[in-house]
Amino acid sequence: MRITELIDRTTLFDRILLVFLLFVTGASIVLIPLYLPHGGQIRIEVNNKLLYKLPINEDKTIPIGGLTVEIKAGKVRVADSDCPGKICVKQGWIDSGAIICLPNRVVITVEGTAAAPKGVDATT
Amino acid sequence: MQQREKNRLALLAACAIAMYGFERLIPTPIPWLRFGFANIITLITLILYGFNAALTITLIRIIIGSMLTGTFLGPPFVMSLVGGLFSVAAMWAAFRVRVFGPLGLSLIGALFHNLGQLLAVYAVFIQNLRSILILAPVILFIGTLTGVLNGLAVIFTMEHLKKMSDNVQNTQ
Repeated sequence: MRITELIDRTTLFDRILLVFLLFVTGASIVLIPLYLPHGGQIRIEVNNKLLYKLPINEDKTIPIGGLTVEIKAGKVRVADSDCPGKICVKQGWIDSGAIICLPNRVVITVEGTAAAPKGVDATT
Repeated sequence: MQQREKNRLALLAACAIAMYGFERLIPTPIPWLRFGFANIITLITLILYGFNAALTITLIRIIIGSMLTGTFLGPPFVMSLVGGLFSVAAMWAAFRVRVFGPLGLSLIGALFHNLGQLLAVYAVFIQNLRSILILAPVILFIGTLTGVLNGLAVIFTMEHLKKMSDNVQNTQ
């Protein structure tokens, strides 16, 4: 069976759905990183509790449970992990976004520089 | 349930487990890339034998599969359980609407599988919505690509089955 015959077996709604999904997910992959803060601070949460808040431009290596988190040259990565899948290690260096290690329940997120004051403060 | 039906379900479940085991042997360059070949079997079962049969083989596949890979009751198990239930329910609902072919059903299955997994991660493990939202588009995009692959495989298999049953009827 040729690939064109396979395509002939799809309905109009199949094709609309495919184009829609590719467009929405593709566009969000491209657009979301533009709005993510680059550099600044790194938050490391374990079990939904904030454990560390570190500046991204200070080189450092921290062991967290079974993980080794490495900060270097404005980027962060999980250098090593004892989890079976090692998705966090494969993700490599990031300077925006997040790394999640599910088995160890570790979330590493990159935040913007010196959190700008939100809402109304005492002087206004 | 009749003996014949039971045998059929057991055979389909065995196929699904074999697919699940096979895809784990394929090295993937991108994390989060899982082909979900077992969904080919789930979808064929859904189309041919209905919701109950598809749900049964999904549950069997997830439980036996997780025991084989040693992740029973671990995080991957919870994720595939929620994802599997979401995907079977969504594919059944879409199948009832009758406007989608196997490709669309497979895409819906993949989409809801991933949504279910993300929901499970959020509800059970990590209450950090922002980091999950950052990863979601990548996971859903990859899911769409594998959904196309599996959908085409389902079309191919269904055509082949049709030809085979035609041949059987002609010779009789």
